[in-house]
Amino acid sequence: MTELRIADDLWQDGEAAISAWFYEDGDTVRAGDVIAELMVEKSSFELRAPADGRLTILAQAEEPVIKGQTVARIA
Amino acid sequence: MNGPRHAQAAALARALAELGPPALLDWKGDAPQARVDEDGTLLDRALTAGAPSHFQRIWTNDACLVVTRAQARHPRFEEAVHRCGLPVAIRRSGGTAVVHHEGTLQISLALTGAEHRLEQGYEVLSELIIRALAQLGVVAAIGPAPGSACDGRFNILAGNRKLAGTAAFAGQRDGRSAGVFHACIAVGGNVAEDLERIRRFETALGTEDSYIAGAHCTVEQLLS
Repeated sequence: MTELRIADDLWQDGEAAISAWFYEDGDTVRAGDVIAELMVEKSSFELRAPADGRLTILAQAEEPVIKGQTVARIA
Repeated sequence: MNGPRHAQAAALARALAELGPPALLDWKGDAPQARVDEDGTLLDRALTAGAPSHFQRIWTNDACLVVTRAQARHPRFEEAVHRCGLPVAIRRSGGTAVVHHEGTLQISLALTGAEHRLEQGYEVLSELIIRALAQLGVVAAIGPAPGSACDGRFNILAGNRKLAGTAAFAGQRDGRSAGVFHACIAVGGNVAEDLERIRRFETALGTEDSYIAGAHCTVEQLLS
């Protein structure tokens, strides 16, 4: 199982949220696929699948997330 | 096209090119969406091994409303497009809707390494714009502008009024990270009309906010 974590060094201050998941919970994804968009301070960051497998979404779109948070698992 | 039709936009473009990293002066007359999409090409280039660490694109656009992907995903997006009365282009960066026209100048700065991180990237972009504005005789600073459209922490302000808005998008490829930080600088035009276009669009989405024309300014106003 591989975790998708929000990197610690993308930003310093401000709230973040996943603005959109591009796959559904349970979908199969491939390593490198852009699977979600993270939004902080009018800036968007692509979140890529770190591994092949089935996606389990842990943080819903529009929910606040923090640096270092695990937002999905892929197994 | 030979550059911005607006004389002060042309002067500002020259200052940005002179003061900033290697610049692509992009005056092509493509459709608004193609103009906006070209920033994605900037990111792709920045993510290519061997690319320069900093470069910029200075560009103009025809009259249009530039909205975010989040706004475009809204169930009432098509209706909002119909109501705003302008062509609509969708951008990758965040924020809310902004208006482009011949009185606005766009700058997109591609950064890699540590400066692609959010605060650092906005500071690099903002400082470049502030220095360029100073060449035109405009004193500017960074900050929020309560009551302005598409507000944020990293607007370019003149006397507490919003002169330019900024936004960004980032990506990764093969272990390399990069960001495109861009700004829409209000050089001339009618701010109240621009806000009315935004209001019509956002009202149709059901996400409207109250914007104040007095929270905005243009270079033309400041120098008149």
